[in-house]
Amino acid sequence: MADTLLLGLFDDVAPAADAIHDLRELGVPENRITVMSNIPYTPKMLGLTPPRQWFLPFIALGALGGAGIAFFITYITPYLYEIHVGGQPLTPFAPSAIMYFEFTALGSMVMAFLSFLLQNRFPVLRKQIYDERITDGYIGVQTQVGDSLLDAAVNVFEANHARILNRESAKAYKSPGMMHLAFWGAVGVLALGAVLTPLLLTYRIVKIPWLDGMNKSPAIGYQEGPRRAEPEGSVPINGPVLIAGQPASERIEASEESVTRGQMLFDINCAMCHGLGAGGDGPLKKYLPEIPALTDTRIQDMSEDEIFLVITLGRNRMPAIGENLTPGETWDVVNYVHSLGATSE
Amino acid sequence: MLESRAEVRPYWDKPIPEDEADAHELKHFRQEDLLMDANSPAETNDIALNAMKSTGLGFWMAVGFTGLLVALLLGTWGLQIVSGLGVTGLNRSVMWGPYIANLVFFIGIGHAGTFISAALRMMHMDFRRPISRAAETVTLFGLSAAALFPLIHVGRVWKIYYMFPIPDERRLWPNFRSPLLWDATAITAYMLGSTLFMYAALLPDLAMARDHTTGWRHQLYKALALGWRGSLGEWMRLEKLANILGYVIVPVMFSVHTIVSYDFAMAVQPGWHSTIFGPFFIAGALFSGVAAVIMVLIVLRKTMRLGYFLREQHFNSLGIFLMLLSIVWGYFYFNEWIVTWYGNLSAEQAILKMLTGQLAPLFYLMLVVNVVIPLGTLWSRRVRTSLPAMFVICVGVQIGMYLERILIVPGFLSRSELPFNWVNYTPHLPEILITIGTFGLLSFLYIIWTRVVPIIPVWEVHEGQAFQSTRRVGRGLFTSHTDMH
Amino acid sequence: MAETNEQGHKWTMIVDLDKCTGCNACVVACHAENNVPIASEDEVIRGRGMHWIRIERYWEGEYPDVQARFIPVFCQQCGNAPCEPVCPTYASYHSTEQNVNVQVYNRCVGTRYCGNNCPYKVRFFNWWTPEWDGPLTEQLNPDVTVRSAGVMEKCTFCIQRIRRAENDATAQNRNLQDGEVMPACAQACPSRALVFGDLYDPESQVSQRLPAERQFKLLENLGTEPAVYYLKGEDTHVGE
Repeated sequence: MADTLLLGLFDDVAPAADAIHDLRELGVPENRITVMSNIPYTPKMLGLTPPRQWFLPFIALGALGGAGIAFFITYITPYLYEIHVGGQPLTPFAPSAIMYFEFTALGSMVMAFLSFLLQNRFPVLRKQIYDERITDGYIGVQTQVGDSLLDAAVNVFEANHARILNRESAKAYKSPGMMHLAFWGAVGVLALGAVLTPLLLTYRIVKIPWLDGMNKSPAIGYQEGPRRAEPEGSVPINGPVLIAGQPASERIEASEESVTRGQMLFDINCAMCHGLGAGGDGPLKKYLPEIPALTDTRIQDMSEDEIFLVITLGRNRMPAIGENLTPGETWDVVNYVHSLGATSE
Repeated sequence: MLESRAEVRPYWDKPIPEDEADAHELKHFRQEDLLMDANSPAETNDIALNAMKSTGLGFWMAVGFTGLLVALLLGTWGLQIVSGLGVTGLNRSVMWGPYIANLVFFIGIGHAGTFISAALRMMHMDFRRPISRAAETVTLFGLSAAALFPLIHVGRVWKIYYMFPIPDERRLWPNFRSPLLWDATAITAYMLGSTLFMYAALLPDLAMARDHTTGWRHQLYKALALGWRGSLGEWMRLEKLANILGYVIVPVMFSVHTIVSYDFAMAVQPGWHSTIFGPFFIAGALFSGVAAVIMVLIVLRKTMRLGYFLREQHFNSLGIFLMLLSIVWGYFYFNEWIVTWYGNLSAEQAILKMLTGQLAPLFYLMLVVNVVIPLGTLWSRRVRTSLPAMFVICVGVQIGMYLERILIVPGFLSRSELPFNWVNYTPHLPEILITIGTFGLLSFLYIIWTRVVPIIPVWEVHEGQAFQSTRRVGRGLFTSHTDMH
Repeated sequence: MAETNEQGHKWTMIVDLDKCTGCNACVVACHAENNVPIASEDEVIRGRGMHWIRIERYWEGEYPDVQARFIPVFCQQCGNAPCEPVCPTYASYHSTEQNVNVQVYNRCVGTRYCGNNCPYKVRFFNWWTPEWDGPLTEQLNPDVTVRSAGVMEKCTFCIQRIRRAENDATAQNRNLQDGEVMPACAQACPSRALVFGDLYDPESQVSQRLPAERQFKLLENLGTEPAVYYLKGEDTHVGE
């Protein structure tokens, strides 16, 4: 046996109230009667008992939550990173009072609104009986009756001059089931995302480089050599110019002078691994046994350009020395390394 | 079978009394009183909806013009961020200028909205019915515009999140002992609360718009109305919610401008360090806010054919309110003045001397437009019900209240304890452009809003009309309201 | 007048106005030490002069009996600093170890509340990105942050020198000696009008010289408890 949903439109509140009275007489329970209007009528006018409302627990929860946030902000965070200002105590009462007031008020307002939505099952995600003339001042009375009462109920509507607009089986209006849960779940996920996304920035997981501010000082640092003025008309480049098939940057030919310079630079930059004299016996040999002796034929057979590249860019475990040496200095070291082969032969 | 009952005519379809004198009296009531002038809800709905859909040439010109001002605001701000705050006229002693004055001013404008709709609602004042939403909208956009100014004001806006209470890698939380953060919290609470309050009262009207529109508007209102049907339970919960929010939001409203005043009163700057600043600022905020609401209502009535809803009676009531606020503001200003004058502290004397000296034109203009003109004219009902006169008075009040903030912020700051640091402040182009642009932003948002949302709370008007009737006392006929609450 | 405290220091400056000649050497020294940007003439006219220490000049008396008075004013390193609690980001706070008022540039968002709330007006805002002409960039102090636009700054009692001396003393496992720390201004003062030291150290020069009959503090009535003592013997006090 299927129930039928009836919707009647009344011109005024008086016949609507009469109809409700008559329906109650027929034995239709109060929770099967819904009144719709464009202005707030009171239960007293309609002869209904006021529906139950659930604001207080929500407001209490919101107020407590707000107060909790205020407590965290005013009493916990100062201790997380203790900073003293202006001769004030760490957690003075007066500013905390303001925070308690604001957050308690905010929490109760938000939760009151949430409670309003939940009590009304807003947003409504299912089909519901309604007529557009209700916002034009007509009063809609919706009731759900079984087949046995249907005719009597229709008669009640007609006797009170209502227009019957809907006589549908109640089956067409299914409860939304899980849809509401899904909706509020999605809202919750979005809210959580909105709360957590800023953390990507504040924890600098996503970095915005131009916001770095004062990290880099234009001052000359302690480890920085004196800045030399460039020669007239020169174009500054960083590191060697590498062009395929061509020697890297302008080569400095081997000369006694160049080799002497190269030895000095080698002793500073390379000897801790390759050893003084390049025998592959520097102090770091015991940690990195694969350090080669540069007097090896394998090394000596390499072209000068290749050695230049190895020094500049590094190879295997050997770090790039390029940023410590200018191209000219690198050529000096290359010349020195090659001169080692010449002497050992 | 039930007997067919007698037909009852709806409240808007009451018969005209047979007695000629009564009929005449009733006609008079209908002219005077919106709540007596009940038409069928279908008709009044149409007035509100047609106003919303009216997008003529004037509308597009207004949108274009205010849109240009918004572009001006954003452009100037962008330039200021790129080149630094040096482009403004601020200096070492006057570190806060019109940006902070604007913050106070726009928050102030936002105060009347909630006061009119929440406080007057709690007091069951019927004249609030058609104007509450227009007033709430002023709150919403006034606060939005105001919320821009802390951002415009600070030196490194890209680091503004340092002021938010969110965990970050520095392990440092903001200092909630700073009045600036009390301020931010209070404004956030107020703005969220006002938005919820407004949205809740908007639901029945969104449902009304949903029922009478097609196309994109229908889809929009359908989504926004959340499925409102106006059932008894929904109405009762709405009333309850409005009461709860109202009782919470009025104290929050008072706290907001008190805390704004704390930004100044907590400082040791002479002239600022005063215990009366809280109530003084609230009075000023309500004063400029009510004036702003009156101006908005006049414009709405003129441009959107809302004469049916916005009648002389409303401007009359608001005019009385404005006059009272003028008295309150004048009283607080006098207090502030005489205490400072009698105290005779040297730095404060320097400020008083400056007010009556080089800043005298601004100072006296403020007193004239804030006190002399309102008190001198608003006692007359003819002035209160004349729209042009009210508009001029309200523009005057806005100018006066803006001047008050300018005098307090960059004005007082230019005098301090050590005379070596005395400077004078003159605004430069960016401040002026940004201020103008913000007025444009406020108007722009408001104009768009009036075309998207029913700006008249039609259901509140209908509610008032349904319970308004006449009652005979002795030989006379009077209007009488049935209070359901 | 040595104050006692188990730990930390109370860095204090004495300004002997009777010795000060108003030569501005301290101002120049401070600019060099602390990377203080140099405001152009136009900027100074607009009231944006930037000197962490400045010589305030006042005229006393009516013409022709006019006397020029000057008083060096810099951050008073208040014990109860009005600038500190108003900062929303803790950029301005009280260092409990050194008992000075510290400014952390990288925390500053530039609300300028501290500047308003400072009765001495010794806090400076970077209205523009600071620039130095030509070779002046080569002498910037690497120990001191070069501030960007939109940030507040002020005298720190040369906190970088204090820190270095403290670190050295800790490394050598000894106590700080009086005179080991000297801010750039005191170092440059030809007439020794500026004396710097630790008030918690009873042997220090400042402890020995205080309390002095000639002493006063600037705007003492505000209760800010400055750590700067001015000495002035003859005539009237300045700035009180």
